[in-house]
Amino acid sequence: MADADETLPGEIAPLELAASQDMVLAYAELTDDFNPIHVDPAFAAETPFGGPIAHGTMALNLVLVAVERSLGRPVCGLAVRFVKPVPVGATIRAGGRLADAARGTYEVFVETDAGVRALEGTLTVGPAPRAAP
Amino acid sequence: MSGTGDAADPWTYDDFEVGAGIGTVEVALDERRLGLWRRIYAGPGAEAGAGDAAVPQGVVVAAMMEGFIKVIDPRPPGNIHAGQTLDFSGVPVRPGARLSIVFTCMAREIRRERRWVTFGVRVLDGETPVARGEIVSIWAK
Repeated sequence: MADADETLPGEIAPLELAASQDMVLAYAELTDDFNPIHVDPAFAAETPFGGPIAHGTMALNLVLVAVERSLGRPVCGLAVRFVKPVPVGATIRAGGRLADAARGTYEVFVETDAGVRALEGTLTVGPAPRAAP
Repeated sequence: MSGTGDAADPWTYDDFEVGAGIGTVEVALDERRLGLWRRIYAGPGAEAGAGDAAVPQGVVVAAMMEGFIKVIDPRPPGNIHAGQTLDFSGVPVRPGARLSIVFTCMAREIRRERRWVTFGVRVLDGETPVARGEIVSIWAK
């Protein structure tokens, strides 16, 4: 939870990431998650998604990076839903809005360049790290 | 391996026993992993994790997912990650750490003909808790 005497920004500065095939393959390598729904166009074409989709935590991690860069604070806790898939090839944007300044809670989201919300939820940030004396 | 003990059989919904431990996986936060992280999330902040600075929290999330992939293997194709909760302890994790990631089955339920399984996860750096939470999945079979 953030310090009560610190002022938190009203918004998390938006951050974009191209969920290209190359980036999704890199994320698959990072997590060792080569689920064909992410990396096999032929398999993914036969699913309800109609094509490959990015890993859910690829979007979640974009939120964490956005918080780190925008607020300079660690995340204490989060709860998110992956509400819609991110098609491989889309550009995603993470952002958020301060919902409870006393608790340091933000409503966060990730949406695609088509305006589709892919991730929704909340997270709570902690105090900014103290500089070493 | 599957709940039946046969490595060739994917884990299915029926293999998960609520309250039962699934396993523990160790994941090393080595330079290869940090390099992949920087490649994806390049820019200010992505440099974190270089030198002796704490790794970005997302690196812990990625390690958690690798642990999940390894501990429940093989899986039926087409599983969906539907939701995630995580609480971080605030303990910084340094490059080179070997994280122990512990998985349990917290709940399972069939809703609207979908097989929902909730997994508990704890991430430890040695004996020190780093994060804990739940992975909510829709299991394909």
